[in-house]
Amino acid sequence: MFEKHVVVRFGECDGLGHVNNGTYFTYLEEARMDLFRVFNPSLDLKLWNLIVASTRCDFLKQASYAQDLFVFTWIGRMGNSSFVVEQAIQDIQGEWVARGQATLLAYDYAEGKPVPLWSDVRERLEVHLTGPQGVPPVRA
Amino acid sequence: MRHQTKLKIRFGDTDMLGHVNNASYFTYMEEGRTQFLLDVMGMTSFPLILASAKVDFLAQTFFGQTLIIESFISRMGNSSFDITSRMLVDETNEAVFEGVATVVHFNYETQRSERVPDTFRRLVADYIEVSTKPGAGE
Repeated sequence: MFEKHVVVRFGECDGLGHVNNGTYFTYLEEARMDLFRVFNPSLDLKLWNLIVASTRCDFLKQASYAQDLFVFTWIGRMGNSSFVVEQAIQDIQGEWVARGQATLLAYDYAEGKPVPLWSDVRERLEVHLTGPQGVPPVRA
Repeated sequence: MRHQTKLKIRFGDTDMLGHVNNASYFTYMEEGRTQFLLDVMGMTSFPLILASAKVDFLAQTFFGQTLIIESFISRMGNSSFDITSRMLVDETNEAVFEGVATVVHFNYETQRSERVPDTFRRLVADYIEVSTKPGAGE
């Protein structure tokens, strides 16, 4: 499991005083940074090999300016080229703020098509199959 | 019936891969959704909060393209409803995106959900299109 600490910025909150829905997806993406390194250790753009096929987020609790948030990232189902990234955001009191999920594809940008997950990457993903304690499931 | 919003992709919506960043689509979906609600309700709005949002990316989009966002209601519940957004490239009509947002009628003072008003239900009646596609609008 990967963990990332984020602090809510002023410009991420909208007219309702809470974090705008689109920002959660940036937090989730930010927390996938360590996962990107599994696929591309140098993070070299020319070697980029992942693409998002679908993503979702359940908004469980509103978050506001200057709040500390902790984003947990772990691996769900693995397919041939695709795999599910499970994510959850917790506040400092331990309450769940959001529950996210993204399906990523190993992808060849030059060819414009998915590539099968290679064995080294599979092995390195398999050590991250466990999520945090008490995490809620995604909504049906 | 579907509501349509036209949107020009801005340079800042793209990421270092040169395509529109996944999070930007949620802002596009929000733009389509708010224009839809403003257009059907005029100035009479009611407070809403998002319960969840999910999208499937069908193709990459790039700076310079113009998107058409189609919005319609794919589920009407008691205090919540789903708005589905479909995006097409204006020039080619290629479908690039399909997403669903679950929206809750929310009282920000009491921090509780409330029943969707009948006036709103009447105003959007023509835009209700219950999806048969599994996974969409449940």
